[in-house]
Amino acid sequence: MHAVDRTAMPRVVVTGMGAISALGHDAHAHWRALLAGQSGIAALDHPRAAELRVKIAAQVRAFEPARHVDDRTLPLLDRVSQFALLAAREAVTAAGWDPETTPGPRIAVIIGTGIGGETSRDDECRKLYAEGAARVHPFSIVRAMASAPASHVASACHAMGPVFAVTSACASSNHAIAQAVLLLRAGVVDVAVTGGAEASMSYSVLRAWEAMRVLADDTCRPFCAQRKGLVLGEGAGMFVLESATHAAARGATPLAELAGIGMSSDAGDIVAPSADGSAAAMRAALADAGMRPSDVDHINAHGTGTVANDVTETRAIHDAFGTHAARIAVTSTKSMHGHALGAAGALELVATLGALRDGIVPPTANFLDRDGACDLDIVTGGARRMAVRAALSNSFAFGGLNAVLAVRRA
Amino acid sequence: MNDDVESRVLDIVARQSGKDRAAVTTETTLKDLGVDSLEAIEMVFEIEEAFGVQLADDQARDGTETLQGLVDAVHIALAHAGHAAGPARAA
Repeated sequence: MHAVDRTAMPRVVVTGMGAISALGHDAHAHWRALLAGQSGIAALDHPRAAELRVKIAAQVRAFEPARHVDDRTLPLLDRVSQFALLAAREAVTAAGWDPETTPGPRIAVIIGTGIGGETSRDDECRKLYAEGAARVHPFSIVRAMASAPASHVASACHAMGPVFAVTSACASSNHAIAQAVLLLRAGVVDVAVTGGAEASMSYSVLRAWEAMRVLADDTCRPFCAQRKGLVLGEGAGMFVLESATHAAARGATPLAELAGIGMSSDAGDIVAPSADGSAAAMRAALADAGMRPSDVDHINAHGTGTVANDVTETRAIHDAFGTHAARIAVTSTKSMHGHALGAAGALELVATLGALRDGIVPPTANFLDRDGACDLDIVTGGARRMAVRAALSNSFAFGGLNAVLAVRRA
Repeated sequence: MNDDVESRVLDIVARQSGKDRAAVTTETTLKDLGVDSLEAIEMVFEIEEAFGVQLADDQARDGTETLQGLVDAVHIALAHAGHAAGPARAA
């Protein structure tokens, strides 16, 4: 493997995080629910729920956007941008960072999303095709464009440097965060607000997921013998990443070091995951972070709860970690916040950073019996108190797109 | 009527898998035909469209069941829907 001299590059630290998910409207609520093993999966709340075969989802509940966004801005925002904005504001506040103190061109915003403003697009299409409307809303484009969350977050935090969206289906968040890390290391910017957002539960997308026959009808049970598939989720997770020198200069206390990124592509099947591709991304993240396999105490797995993913990911972890695989506490928090698709990696990084900070790994909820084909130390039953020196967060998307983040104590 | 369902299901399987119709019988499995999981999902969709029925999510999931299982599932779904041979929408 090509050895990179990282000593010359700035270290990247996380100084703030924010989240909104089925578990709560801020990172603290999200994290507390995960530790309690509390699942956000419930009966699907949708105007056409009665017609759908999808009966359950992990949805953001009791969300009142008008409480967070002014009257003039609100009509411009799809639900996905509302989530992104709320989580980004929380991350910035938590970082104790006043964006006005950093030159705008030195700030990046990079946000992952699988599909962007889907419910706005679906609403306008329904009016057009089903109701015979002659015109659609003039804000249709600005609501639906996949880069809208990045633009709104950029406006909110005065970011005038590189601002764009990253899309790689269920790995969008991790790919976005990886781009932010690369820009910080390259010295292009000093601060990046990055993460992922998704709000894709439109009637047509729900129908499309039904057609793929990968949804569980009971609940999400990753790595468990009785697992039946994934459960859709939504939300956003956002982070303030800084060069360690920028953070130190303003007296910020880092939550963690974002030590390594690993990206790979299976270049194979459009849906079936590959253990080789997943293992390659984990190895790349370790190498990039300068970590040995034995440094890793915890993995927040992709763990979708589908038959194929969980077995393949198990094999990949064994391939990447060898004998140390058995000593890694593995969990899938998708059992609680659902599969938030383009926001998944970000919601899971909140959990991974929480585990690192508090020394406690959340459980994989809804777990019944072990599956012999998923022979890992899956944390079940309740949260496990343990020292976490370093951890990985895995995302493996349809289309064979893999992105893994490695974090360690700052 | 039953034979009609069977031959229509097997026609769809042959067409979707690109195999010779003669090679496709009720004893064949999707695995035998080299059909992967995504192709199997599409095949079940084509069958649902042709008969106007809804089949179980895990129908044909592992591909090791014989096509008789798929034919039986269509019969059961049609009986459920209260008609012997569904609307031939896309057959």
